Amino acid sequence: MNHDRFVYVTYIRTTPEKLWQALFEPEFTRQYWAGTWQESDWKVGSTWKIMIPDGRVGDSGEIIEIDPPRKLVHTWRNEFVPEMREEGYSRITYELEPNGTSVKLTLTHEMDRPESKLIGAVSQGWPAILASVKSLLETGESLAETRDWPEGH
Amino acid sequence: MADNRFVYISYIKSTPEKVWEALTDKALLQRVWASDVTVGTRPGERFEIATDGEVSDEGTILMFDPPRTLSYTFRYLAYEEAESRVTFTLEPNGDLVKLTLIHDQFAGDSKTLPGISGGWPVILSGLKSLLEGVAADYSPAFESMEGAEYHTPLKTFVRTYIAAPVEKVWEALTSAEFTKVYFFGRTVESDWQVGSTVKFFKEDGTLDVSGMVLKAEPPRLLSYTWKVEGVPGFEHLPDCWVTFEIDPYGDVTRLTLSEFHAEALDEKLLEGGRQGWPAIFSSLKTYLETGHPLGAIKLAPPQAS
Repeated sequence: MNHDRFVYVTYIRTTPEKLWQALFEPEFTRQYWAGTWQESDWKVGSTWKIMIPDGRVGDSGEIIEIDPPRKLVHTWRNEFVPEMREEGYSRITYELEPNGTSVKLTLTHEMDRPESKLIGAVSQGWPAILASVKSLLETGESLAETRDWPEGH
Repeated sequence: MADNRFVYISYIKSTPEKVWEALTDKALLQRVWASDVTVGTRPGERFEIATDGEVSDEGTILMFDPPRTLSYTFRYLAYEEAESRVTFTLEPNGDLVKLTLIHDQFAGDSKTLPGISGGWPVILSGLKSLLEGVAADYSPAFESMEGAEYHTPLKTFVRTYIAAPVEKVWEALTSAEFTKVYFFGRTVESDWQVGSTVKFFKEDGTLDVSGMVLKAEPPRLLSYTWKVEGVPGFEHLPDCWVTFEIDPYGDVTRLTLSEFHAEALDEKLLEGGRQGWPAIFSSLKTYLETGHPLGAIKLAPPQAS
């Protein structure tokens, strides 16, 4: 197997428009994604970056496909952990589908190499981030544990 | 990487005890799964999922270690496949619980694995919402359900939407001057404190229903036990309780009744509630919206056999 992949599905009681906003707009991501925010002009071919509160670039890539509020695909390379950076670019796909009064969010993060360290790391991170965005949209509050960038990282 | 298993992790703002309850308690399981789920409490006891009395999945409890580890074997009966294994692990994490599900021991060509991979996110998303208090009875599994009523041997569920404020609906459920208008002339009597009695009297003054208040959170949630009095054959029925949820829903109020039975009851015994609640709700709705009751609905009294 020369492919490594993490898939996570969650159902969130909200609208696709609100979920899209929560996933990509800085004022929302800062609340549940360890204080980080994304920078991009959100067009095919544009650069994409995730910014760490101390000013570093966490990950970067390029927008491959964008169709708000339904689908976003972009490449993703870690920039601050050398052994992950050298793995090169992974690919992330967000798909949002209305499901009654909820939205089904399917996140697929994959890399064309076996046993990727990056995929291993994000497999730990995504469940907490997506649990927190669900809580934020449904209850108005993100999970406190996911709000701040962990010290020393 | 082992591909013949499904792993799902969630973080829930709750306690391990409450998450455990949602994984094992019949009434909570009903709300999350929209089916009757039985989880035995000792290794060797049965795990079962049934809908309208029809068993779709079954297994055997392997480990029951509250509130840490629950494990059972699992077989989806529509496919003739060997049993797989479900393991839930609960770990406290600050004011969260990390819930890890591992569903493994599938054969390489299992047809069950793709099915459960679609199903578990529905169940566990609903479980998280329920435990975080988003909406009682909220589960994506309910989203696909048509209509405002459904019934199982353990539960009768009726929902209506009323153009009145939640406070008014609460008042209508808790005060005699309203109940006598829409509830076949019954007057209700209670001080609506948890632990207090609830009584419904017929027009001739005889006691019709008695119960005890389990939850009273005006104007949103009311729950009490329900015992039919004075009807032969109803004396020894298993516990029954009713829960009313009153939620703002856009400009209107959504009223949801769930009638729970501790044990599956005979269809004939359940018929009273299934016929009665929609009629009562219709009358309540008309009265609150127009000021006039619906007068014409007449129902036969409950029959024990």
